[in-house]
Amino acid sequence: MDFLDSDEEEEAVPTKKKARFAEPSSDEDEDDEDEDGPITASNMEARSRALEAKAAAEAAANFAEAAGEGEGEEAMFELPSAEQQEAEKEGGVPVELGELQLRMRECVKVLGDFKKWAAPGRSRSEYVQQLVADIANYYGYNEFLAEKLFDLFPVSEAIEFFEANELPRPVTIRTNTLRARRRDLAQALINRGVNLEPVGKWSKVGLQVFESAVPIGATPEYLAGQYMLQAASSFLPVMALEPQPGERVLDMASAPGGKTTYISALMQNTGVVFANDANKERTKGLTANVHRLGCRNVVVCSYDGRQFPKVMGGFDRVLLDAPCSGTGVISKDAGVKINKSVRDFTLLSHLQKQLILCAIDSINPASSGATVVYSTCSVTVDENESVVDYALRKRPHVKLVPTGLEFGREGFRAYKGKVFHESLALTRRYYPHVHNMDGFFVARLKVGKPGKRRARGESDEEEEEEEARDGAPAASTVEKGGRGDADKAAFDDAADADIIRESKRKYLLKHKGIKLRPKAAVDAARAAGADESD
Amino acid sequence: MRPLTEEETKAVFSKLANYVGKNLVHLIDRADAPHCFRLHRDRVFYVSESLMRLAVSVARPNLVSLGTCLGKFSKTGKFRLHITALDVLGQYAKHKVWIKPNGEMPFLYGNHVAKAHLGRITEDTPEHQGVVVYSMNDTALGFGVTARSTLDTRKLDPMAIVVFHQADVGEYLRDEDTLF
Amino acid sequence: MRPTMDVSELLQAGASKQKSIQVEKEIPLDIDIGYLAATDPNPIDEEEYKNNREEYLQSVARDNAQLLINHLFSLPIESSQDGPLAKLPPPTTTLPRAKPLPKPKPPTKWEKFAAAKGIQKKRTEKKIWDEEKQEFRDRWGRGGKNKELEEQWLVEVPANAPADFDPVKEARDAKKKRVAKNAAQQTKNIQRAERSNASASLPQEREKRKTELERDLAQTRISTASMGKFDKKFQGEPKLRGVKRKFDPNEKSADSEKASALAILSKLDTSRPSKRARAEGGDDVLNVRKAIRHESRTGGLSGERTGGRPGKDGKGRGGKRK
Repeated sequence: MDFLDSDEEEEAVPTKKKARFAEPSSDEDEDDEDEDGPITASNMEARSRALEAKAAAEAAANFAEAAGEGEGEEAMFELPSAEQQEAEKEGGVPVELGELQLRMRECVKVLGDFKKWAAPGRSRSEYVQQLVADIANYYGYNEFLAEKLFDLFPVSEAIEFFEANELPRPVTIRTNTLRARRRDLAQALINRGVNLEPVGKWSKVGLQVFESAVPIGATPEYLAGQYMLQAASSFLPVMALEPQPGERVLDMASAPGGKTTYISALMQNTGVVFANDANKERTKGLTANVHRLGCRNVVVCSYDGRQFPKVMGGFDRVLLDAPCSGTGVISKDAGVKINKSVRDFTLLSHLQKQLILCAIDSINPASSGATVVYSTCSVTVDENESVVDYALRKRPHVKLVPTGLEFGREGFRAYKGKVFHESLALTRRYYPHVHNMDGFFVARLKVGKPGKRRARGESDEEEEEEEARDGAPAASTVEKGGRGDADKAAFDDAADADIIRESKRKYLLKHKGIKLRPKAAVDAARAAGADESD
Repeated sequence: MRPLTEEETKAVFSKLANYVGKNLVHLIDRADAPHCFRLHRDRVFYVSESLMRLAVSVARPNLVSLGTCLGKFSKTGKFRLHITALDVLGQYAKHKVWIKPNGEMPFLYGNHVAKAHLGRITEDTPEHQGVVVYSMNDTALGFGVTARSTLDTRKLDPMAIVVFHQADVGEYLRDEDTLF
Repeated sequence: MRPTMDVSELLQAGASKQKSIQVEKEIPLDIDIGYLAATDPNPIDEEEYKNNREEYLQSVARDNAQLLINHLFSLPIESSQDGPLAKLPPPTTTLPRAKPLPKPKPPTKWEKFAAAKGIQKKRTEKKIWDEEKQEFRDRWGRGGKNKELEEQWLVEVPANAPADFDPVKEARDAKKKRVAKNAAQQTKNIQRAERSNASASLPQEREKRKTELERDLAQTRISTASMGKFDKKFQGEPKLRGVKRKFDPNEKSADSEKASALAILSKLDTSRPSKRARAEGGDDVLNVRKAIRHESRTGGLSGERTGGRPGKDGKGRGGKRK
């Protein structure tokens, strides 16, 4: 990679992250110039707080503006009829972007207070349908995904979410504590003309880069492994994992190594980290990062994650950053908007369910850690909550525990008629429009001893229905039958007596080496036996 | 993964000794945890014994790397140090070279170090001695071999090469595909 | 008069003791008397068989043997010194072949060629018609037609023939050459056949000898005191094939590994080639040059050091920079 470009050539630099830090600088330039002085530990916090407050205020203003504009134009808006919608879909009537935007805004307004604003005779679902179609059209999603994402949020928030997906997230770097301290690194980078801030109170190692005179992925500090280019969201699962020095940790899907190296750094190069990635090509970059950051306690291997308890088990902690649809990182990879179908989602969630069970089974329940962290960079429910819920049902010795992350929304406890375990409120969700980081999901599971059964609140029917839908092996249905129908399936001693006697006879004869008599004789004997018992 | 044979060990040690000299003993006989040298697919890894014992369970085709990669054996049986060995070398190096900020980038591009870029050098470094190259703020950038001894360096003109480039951290980006 | 002895009763009694030589069978036996073999196709009586197996089997065997012997006595009998001998007819049962069928011979080169070209095999008669003598003559052998040229009393000599041209010798040589060629082709064909049907199992003689030779060579090469370990290697010397490399086990005790590594290191130190580095004090405990300079900078002797320090210090630095 070309990394020695001077400042004027920096647009040509093929670093992916380059485009992202150019964007937010436009409105932040003027604010930053006056406080451009060197960052010290004392003013770091204050600056980050100020920035956060500003961002929040801006977001609020935008939304107010959107809502306000809507008020004036109420009379002009009329929901297109079903025929019109059809025609539009087929491309018969081209719609201008401005009009589309206007219509979306109106729909949002109407759906916000349906009684007040709705045109008489139109149903709520009509408005929703129109809005989803417009969103798909306006932002360039396929209709399926647009609806899937739309359903996650209240109406006005959904628009914010889609809007946020169009904007790039800030570039963040993580200080490699194995090689440098954050303050020294920040100073060194500032000397190179990089404008940066601590990423927030929640992380002691993150730095947010606003503007850089040099390619941030090719400075001597980067090459010397003093920091790692890493999205803020990918700090979270590692923080939730809380690896301790001397432990044995597995990172099931680790490329490109941001989380692995963070784990290694938190463990201060002691213990063992197994960094696995199914893709052999991607392990090259992973190995490069592991070595660059000086992580000496890492074993890089390339297995399918589902092989795992077989390859090796007994881990103290397992991080499963599952392969996902990437609906949280649409701003990074816009291809997701169109190339995801229903089939992709079912396949992915099936894979995720297999992986999470493997992750749980790889844990040594006797260890003090015994933690599995499940995370995805996706916001959809069937890749997140339903996977975790599935794991809770399949492995009764596992329970959800608080992630230890101080911010983030609670996970869904019920979604579209599916009711999850109540502890799913302990999982955390992150959204681009709320937290200004990639859409993300983090769940932390504590693995207990397998013998222990957790009391379950859910009814059995629902589980069965769930299982049928998942198409998973019905291993647990059997034991469930034993548990739930205990009163129905009580022993009937009288009826059993005959059977027991007969089998005893067979057993005795077999042991003496005598062949069994023909069936008629047996029947006679049984009749005799019945007489006796009477 | 297997231990090195005697010839291989000799090849590795003589290369390392060029940089760390007698300190090589400290690499073999460590105070903290026992470490060992392991060969896996031509590459030599310096790895703590406990880690190695765990990594044994990973099948040969699936194992990619463990511990610190020191370098690789060429097909002709010669050993070549990789940039990934920089940590180990930097810790025990006897002779060091510091280069000025304007010389950092050329070195990271794989160029030799010119005298003009030389900031500091360990006293009494002999000719053809392995040295670890640092930037002025003590960031290890790579390693090389001196072209002249410290004494002779003084008489050189500014453009003359003082340290021959061997490996630099820029290779993490440049040679990512071939390095691992 | 003595009453006539009625032996019929005795005979009757004896007969009742002994079984009848007449045996009734539902299905007559298949008897191949040539092999003295009889096959009983009658089904066995299951109940009888189960109840007393031995008796039943014995009786069946006896009956069948009786039938066979009956059959034997129906044969024409010759008397000899040893007693009467029955003459066995040739056996009717065809026995299966004891040995496998011979494999078809691999085709010769000509046969292959002929098959490819579709040439039919034509039988050559031994006799050939002689137009001159108006009779059949042998194609080869004594007085054969192929010796005609040799045995003629007058032979036409080609125009450009040399002075010592001997037509008889020429003809004989030509014939012998043909015979030799045929013999060579035959051996070649045999060799080819051997090679084709034995290539899979055992290596050819030549190959076998080659591998043996190579093995002997390899053995002699390493038959030195160090088992070839410290022998001088020649450039381009072929690597030993088929020698399994043996490595240390992956998991051995850390101490032994450390000890072996240190042993190698100590060997390495004594035979380090970089003499120059050592001459310049690279790895010595005392860096002589540095010590001398240090001494000269600080004034050499410790006695003078206290007196002339400030002045000498500056001088020393200047010296370093020159």
